[in-house]
Amino acid sequence: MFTERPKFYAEYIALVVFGVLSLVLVPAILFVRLPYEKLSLVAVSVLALCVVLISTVTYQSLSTYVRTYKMAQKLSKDLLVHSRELFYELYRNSPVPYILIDMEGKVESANTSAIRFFGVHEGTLDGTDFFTYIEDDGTNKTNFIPAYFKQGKPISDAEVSLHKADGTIRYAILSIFLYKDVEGRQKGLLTLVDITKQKMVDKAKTEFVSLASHQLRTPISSLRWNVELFEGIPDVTLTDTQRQYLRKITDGIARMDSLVTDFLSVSKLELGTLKPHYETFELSDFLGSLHEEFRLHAEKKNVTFETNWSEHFGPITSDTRLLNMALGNLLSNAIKYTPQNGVVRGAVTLNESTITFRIEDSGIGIPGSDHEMIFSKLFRASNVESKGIDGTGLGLYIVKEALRVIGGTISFESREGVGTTFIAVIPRR
Amino acid sequence: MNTEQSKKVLVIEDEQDLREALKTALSNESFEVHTAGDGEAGLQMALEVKPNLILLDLMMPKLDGLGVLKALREDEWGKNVKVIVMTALDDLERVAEVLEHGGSEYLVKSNISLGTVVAKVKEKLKV
Repeated sequence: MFTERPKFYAEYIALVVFGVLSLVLVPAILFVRLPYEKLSLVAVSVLALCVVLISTVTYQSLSTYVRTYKMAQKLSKDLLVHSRELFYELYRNSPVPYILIDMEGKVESANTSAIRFFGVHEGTLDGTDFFTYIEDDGTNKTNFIPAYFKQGKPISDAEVSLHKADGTIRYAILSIFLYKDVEGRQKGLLTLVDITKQKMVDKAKTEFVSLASHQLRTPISSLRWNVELFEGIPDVTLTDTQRQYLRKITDGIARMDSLVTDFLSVSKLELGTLKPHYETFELSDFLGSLHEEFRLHAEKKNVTFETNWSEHFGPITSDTRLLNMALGNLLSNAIKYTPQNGVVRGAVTLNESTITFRIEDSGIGIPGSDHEMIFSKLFRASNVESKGIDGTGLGLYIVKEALRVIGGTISFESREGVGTTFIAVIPRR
Repeated sequence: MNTEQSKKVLVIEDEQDLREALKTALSNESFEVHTAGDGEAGLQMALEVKPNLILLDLMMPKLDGLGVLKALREDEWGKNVKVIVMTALDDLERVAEVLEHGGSEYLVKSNISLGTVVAKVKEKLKV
């Protein structure tokens, strides 16, 4: 703002010279009788007085201006110092860990939060290579960071695990912004957002579901295997009633298994522990296994199961587990709600951006009044209870949520007593 | 039962009911069956008995199935032993890890019959 001082010396000299000349000229006219003798003494005196007054006022104004300028300059300096101090205090005491690094990744300075994050003393990080603190997780998710930064590119929101001085691991979201210091050298301002607690909670949730799954499934496996051993005992002839009891036990086990699967799926979807794992696979192979699994269910119920799934669709990229969860539930429902001698059809169509799965049945259909609620958790259509069809009301909720996780959608068309078609659409990655 | 030609199978499974069911089913097929109730005991028994195949549960106390598998693969004899890993459905995330450490087969207990487990064992041992 005040980068160059104005030159006032000429004005000062002019003022002094003019003042002196005025004071010398007036007596000279009066007493030496120069050719100006006819000039009125009063007029000359007034003129001289005016000159003196103007000079005085000008001098006063200039002095004020100079004083104001000096004050402004001092204020500007103070502001600069103050803002530097403020910036430093914010940097030092920010709850966000900040680290300044050079373009080789060497730490030049770390704020209090960063020091606390790594559990070290002040100055310990200085001069060390920051990138050596990043834990190599064996994937390419974090390995790119040093090379990328050294090429002069900023890093945004990379999830990393960092090892502390005591060897423990902390998780963080890392970003590196590029800036130039006062000497014009490029540097990096590194920020860390500590997500260790969040990671621990996620891990605890996953472990809980895993443990619950193990504990619930083990007795089911035990029941199933022991029934199998019982049935395999040689030379044992069962009466029809005994066989009926045994079949009821087997059916009960199957139902319990299915319930546990549903409850665990809902828990995982709601706890957010079902993260998509994308892989590329042959769609025909995937659908072939699904067809094989549900063909037996359909046969048992004397329902015709037709598909176009044997066509060659080529490879697709998705999460097989979640896709299987969604399509498996749709097929299970279609067969369950279709009466004997009915038909269930599966069709797949692919276009450039989406893959559409249609599961059509000739079942009991969904009453119009239930259409809005059909994907709600624990909701069952009003016409299923009267027909004595068993279910938990979780299947379509699971379908909707599983598809949501992989970026898909679900819709349906239905006429009560005629049948229902569910249409699942997933993005083609 | 022709014990001279019996192949040895070690079942490492912490759930007693499942361990006994597997033992009965495999014994019925003339295998010489050994059992262990946790990972540590299983590893020790494996190195002593040197079975032809190990049926290994993944979630176990003391030393889990993956730990047993890693330890086996570091042993001169254990690095080549056939291992079938069994687990509950929700450990599917660990399939890749198990296969990476040389688990030759992966069975999900909750949706597999005892008959299928026995068939897999026979297939692996070419019996």
